[in-house]
Amino acid sequence: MANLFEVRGLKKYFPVGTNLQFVNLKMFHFQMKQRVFTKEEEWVRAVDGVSFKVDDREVFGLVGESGCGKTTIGRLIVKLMEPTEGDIYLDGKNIVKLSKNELKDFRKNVGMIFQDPYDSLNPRFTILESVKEPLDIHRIGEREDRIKKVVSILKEVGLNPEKSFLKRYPHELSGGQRQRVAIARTLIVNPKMVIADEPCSMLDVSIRAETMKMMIKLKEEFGLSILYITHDISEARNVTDSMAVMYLGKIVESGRTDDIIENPSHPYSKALISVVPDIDPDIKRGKIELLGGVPSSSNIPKGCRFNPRCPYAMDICREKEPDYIRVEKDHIASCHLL
Amino acid sequence: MNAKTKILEVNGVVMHYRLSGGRSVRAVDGISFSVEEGRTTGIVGESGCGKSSVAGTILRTLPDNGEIKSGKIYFKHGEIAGKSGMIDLFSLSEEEIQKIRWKGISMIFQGAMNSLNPVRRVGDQIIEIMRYKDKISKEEAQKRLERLCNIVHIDPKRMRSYPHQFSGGMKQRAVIAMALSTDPKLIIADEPTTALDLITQDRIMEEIKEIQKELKMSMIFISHDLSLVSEISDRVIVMYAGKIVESCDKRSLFREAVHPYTRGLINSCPRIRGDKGKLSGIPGEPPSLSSPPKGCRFHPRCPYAIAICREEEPEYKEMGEGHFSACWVVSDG
Repeated sequence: MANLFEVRGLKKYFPVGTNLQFVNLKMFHFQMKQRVFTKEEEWVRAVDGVSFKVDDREVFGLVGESGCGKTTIGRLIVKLMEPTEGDIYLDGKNIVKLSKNELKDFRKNVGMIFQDPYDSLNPRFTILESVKEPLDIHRIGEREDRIKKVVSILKEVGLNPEKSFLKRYPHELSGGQRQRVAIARTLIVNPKMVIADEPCSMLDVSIRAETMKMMIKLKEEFGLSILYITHDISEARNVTDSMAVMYLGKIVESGRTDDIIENPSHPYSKALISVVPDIDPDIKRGKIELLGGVPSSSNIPKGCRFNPRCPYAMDICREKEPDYIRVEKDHIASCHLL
Repeated sequence: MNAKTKILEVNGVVMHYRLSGGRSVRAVDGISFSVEEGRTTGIVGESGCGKSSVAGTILRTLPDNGEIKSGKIYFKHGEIAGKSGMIDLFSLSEEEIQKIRWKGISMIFQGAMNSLNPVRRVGDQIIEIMRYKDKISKEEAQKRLERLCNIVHIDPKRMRSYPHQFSGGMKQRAVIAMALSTDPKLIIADEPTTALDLITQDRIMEEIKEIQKELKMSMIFISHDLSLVSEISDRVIVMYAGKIVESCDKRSLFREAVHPYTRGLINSCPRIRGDKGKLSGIPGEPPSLSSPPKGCRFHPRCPYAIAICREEEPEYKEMGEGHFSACWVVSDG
């Protein structure tokens, strides 16, 4: 399989407090540029050197707790923001710097599904207008064909009967139906790759499973690659082919999903798996107690960034950042224990 | 434990929300269950199934348009208004039920983020409740606060902080401390870990379990997450569209659940252990409670629905020992 998509050394830093450093004070009819707050420049290192590859027709999961930078990566990839450093390749082409025309083409190829279907649809657009809009923008097909295409894609995402949805507004639909509309809108221009940022987390349990199943089905039918961002590692297990576990802006472990779930190597991945509750009361889960909470990403610990919470931390972990070690084929982890 | 004493008994409670134009939402529609002393009863269901309304009905903290239509709730409490033993909560006046809130039954609310006052120190908010409810001195309240801090694992010094200086997990711990502060007999925890990360959630759940064991408290644990409920509860109640569809011991839930909705929920839960299995959801959407379907409320989504399901509501029957279910197909064998 060829890899369709690659991220190399991606970094995104956000400044903290720098906006307040210089303030123009306009008083007594003269202008004065004065340093009002002498705060040192601080950075939130939201994404701090991330590399991964997504194969053609693969679902790749980014898993981690809130604040680990997974959503920022999604936003960098669809170019909602510029990376501080690093490269992103789609089909071998670097997409960090694109001209306006190239950008439009890029937007056709890479779609995004957002977490909250209550926010991501325009409340004043009918479902027809919402789903048809990308076709209008990219001037795909003739006018009448576009409506036909909308109808067929609504059917594809399981909105039944599809014609009854055309004239309705988002507020008339349930959360699950809205998310289906959002997915239809993303898929209608036949993208190569879709970034799905927690697409199921706002949905009810019974609807969530249906939505996950549908995404896998659509991946097959449309020949898509999906970058699936989620905080729920059990959801990732069911949806993704490969995945990366993130902690404080870095990937700590990545590989085939089944390998990671069955044989996690990094203590953080082990902990993440051990805390998932189970319906079967007879299953005993081996617990790994983590110490403390997630540190702030503006003050990342020295050495291995996981060391203050790691139950196995050694001296070297406090000094040196660990390299990635190959655990088995395609399965890497960054930990001094390995 | 052999002598099972009930601390709370809910009997055929019906609660509707009035809407404009004479319509109403049948949020709680004939619900009966009980909570045994020192045990945990879990209520699981999807959003809008009425599980939080059950909590509001018990504590009578419903919005103005919430109307208790029928049924009885009995709570075991010391003497209040000249009554003792199992007290009929609906017969109490507002002033009398005020005495039950916090002291008899307290609540851990969903989204600790919003249930603390942002402009007051966390410790002061907890002390306020103790002093108001127990009429104790400041010093005594302070002492009790320190004990609570040890129980919920917060450094007592941090009690001088404001809520925004707390992380999500700490806020949730503070809210738990608040619920424990007045020494209640029954705690209702309504989605206490929903907005938290999995690792924090796990730790809070462990703490709740520990506290419950230590203080021998009775608890009602409400959540949409079946696996969370089945880990913490002794008994599990499954709600769908304002009704209880199944209730049983947590041991039998996973293997012996019979209601198609419960089975559907179990199959919808992605699991991390054991066989990956096949994930299958439940087709369709939960019905609107202002016009629920005729017959069994689950029939439009049920793969086994037969003619009678569309016509008549199934009876809530005992299937095995302590295992109740409301389903036509199952009760016919």
